[in-house]
Amino acid sequence: MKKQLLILLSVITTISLSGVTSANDAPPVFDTENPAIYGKQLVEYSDRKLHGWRDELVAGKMSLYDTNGQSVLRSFRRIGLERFGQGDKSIIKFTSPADIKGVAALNYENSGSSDDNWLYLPSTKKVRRISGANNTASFQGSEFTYEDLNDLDPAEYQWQFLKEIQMEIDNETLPVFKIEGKPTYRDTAYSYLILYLSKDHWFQAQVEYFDKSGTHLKTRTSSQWQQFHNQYWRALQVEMANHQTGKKTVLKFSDYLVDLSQYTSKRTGKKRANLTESSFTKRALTK
Amino acid sequence: MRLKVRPLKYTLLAGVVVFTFSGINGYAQSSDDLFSDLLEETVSDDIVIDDTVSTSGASLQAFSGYAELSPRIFLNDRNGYHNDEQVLLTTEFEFDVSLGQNTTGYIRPRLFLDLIDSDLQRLELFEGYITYQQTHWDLRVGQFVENWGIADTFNPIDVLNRRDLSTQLLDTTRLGEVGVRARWLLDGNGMIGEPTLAFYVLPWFQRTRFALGRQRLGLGSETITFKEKQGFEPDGDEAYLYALRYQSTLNTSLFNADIQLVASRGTDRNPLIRPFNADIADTLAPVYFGNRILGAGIRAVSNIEKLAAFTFKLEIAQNNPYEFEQSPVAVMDDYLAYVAGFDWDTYNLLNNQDQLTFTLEYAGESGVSQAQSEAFPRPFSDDLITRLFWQSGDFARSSVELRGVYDQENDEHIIEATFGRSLIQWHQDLKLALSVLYIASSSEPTATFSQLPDNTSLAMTLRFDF
Repeated sequence: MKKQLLILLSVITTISLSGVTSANDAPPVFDTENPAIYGKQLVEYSDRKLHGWRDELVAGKMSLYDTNGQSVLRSFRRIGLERFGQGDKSIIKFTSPADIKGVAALNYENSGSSDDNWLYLPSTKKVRRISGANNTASFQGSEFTYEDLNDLDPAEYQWQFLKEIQMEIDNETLPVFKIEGKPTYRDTAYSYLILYLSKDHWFQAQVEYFDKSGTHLKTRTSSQWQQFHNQYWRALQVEMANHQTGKKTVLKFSDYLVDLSQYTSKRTGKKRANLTESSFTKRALTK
Repeated sequence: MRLKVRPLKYTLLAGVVVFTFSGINGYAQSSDDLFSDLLEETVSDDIVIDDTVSTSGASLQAFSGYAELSPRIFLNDRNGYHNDEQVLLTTEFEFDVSLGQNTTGYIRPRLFLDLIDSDLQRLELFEGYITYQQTHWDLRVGQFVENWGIADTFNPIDVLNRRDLSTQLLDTTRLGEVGVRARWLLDGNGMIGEPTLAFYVLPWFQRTRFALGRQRLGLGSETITFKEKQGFEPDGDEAYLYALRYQSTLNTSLFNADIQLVASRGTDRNPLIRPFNADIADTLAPVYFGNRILGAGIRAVSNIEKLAAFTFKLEIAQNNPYEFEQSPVAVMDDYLAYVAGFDWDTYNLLNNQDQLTFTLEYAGESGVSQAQSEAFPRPFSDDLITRLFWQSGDFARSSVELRGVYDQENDEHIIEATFGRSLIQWHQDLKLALSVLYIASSSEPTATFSQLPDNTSLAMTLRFDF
């Protein structure tokens, strides 16, 4: 399974991508006259608002659906550490089904170069460094590729603001910015994407992906948003639908904790400490 | 026990197999780890995160295991003496136990038997140890297994654990070693990450396991008796094995890598097989000897974009074998064993969810004369190792694995093809693997597999994880 397992590391980061709103960070004055500049400003501002969450802990379930509606379920847990400007760190550990229980992956994001990835397989009791050049690969047979799950870096796209619209997701109407982005990096499966950015909370409500021939390939829809500490937004459900195959993958997150220092220990009654880098090591993957 | 040396035609180095494929059998065991303490409980807004381990008393933290049934049919008779079939049943349980705030325990009992051969029936504690952990060091005491090495197949620096050579040629199981491990977690920097230094003392000699009686890979026959327990073994201080292991990451502008440095002194895990006694012409037994080993390994991923799909591997070990006191057998000269190779990954071949990994490695030796090579034949002295592993990415996690080892010196081949998938229509944790193992052994008596001819076989493995 190798790299495919690593993706969920980023999966949730991507979900995390979707949202942080800082009350003290007022939007800048946007250049609404130039669609290219305006589009870039909107995405950059949204990206800046993602920062500040420090660390997080989440449990999740990934359901894979085929064209007949049959599905399989995989469960995982993840911890993440924000390292602004240096690349985040994360560990994901699978908890079911039984034959992949205990499989764990460690990821260091490296800005401007391939990530550092390690995989731990309980059957071999060995942590192995593996290649990070897997952008277009499917994660665990899901409709998500590594590229889909990586943080969307505003600097790696040419942006174009299209329009403001109202869209309905999960029976909720959201005002959004509709923005087109063309990737400028090589290792991509897409010619462009359409990003729907929440006007009120700056999270990525939906992303439409178009393949190299310009055909609509997939749509990622995030829903069931929850705000943590009056500041950080997280989607508790993310669906990736493949329009060409009819398959889809649904990620559902539960038991989300964001910024552990905001919580109090049940046992000691004291404030918790944030996770540190010592929790994100190869040693931490093994017994 | 004193042995007398017999002609080389009976010589066979026991370490026929030190392969470590992570094959189709999947991920049998679950493991606890440092961060799972944060995760193993039900998480909620008021979760107990950093103090889940109880401060007193013992409590079970995790439990898992598997049961596996694996019939194998050998296509050719081997001299009419050995079994032509095996039906192996394996069951393992794993218990992770908390013994206090800084102390954990791990227990792994195992049942392993051949349903049609009473010579192979084992119920044992495969691993069982206690770990005491502090911020910058930990101490482990008990019987444990560690997987050292960088390469996928043959690991010259993986010298800690013995192997079970009784039933497998390619996937030999590591056997637990009783001892103590003291480990220090050092401070790193931008270039060196996670430096770790571990010191091992294994005071108790244990035998490498061989196939006995009529078991298919047995070294005996109708005319030759193999006596596993009656060879030459170390005694007293000679039985100790000491090892030092350093690990870290190495980050440079050209590549990022994991490195290992290993030094050890003690009983070599692969004894020589020699005639038991000159007066009893047809009896073989293992002769253990000591070995001082200095080794290093590196596993690197390039930061050059065009090479990013490759993972490069290099593993070397300088061996300095020595005889135990009163050993009746001379050991081989010093030699350097090494493995170099790479993994290459590619995606989206037959569908948009599959993945293929191709592995190519060369295993060789340096400093070995022709006479020494013939006197002490070893596997992986001049071998090409390949592996293709394709995963379909479908619901059943179907996969196909082809692997091959070609001994260039003796023109011997091992090829194994395995197809695996989960039987999700019955249960998602039930897996099936079908495999063909083809062995073309040389007739040269010094060749690795010449003593084990006709072992081409078909196997089916049914496994249930829980």
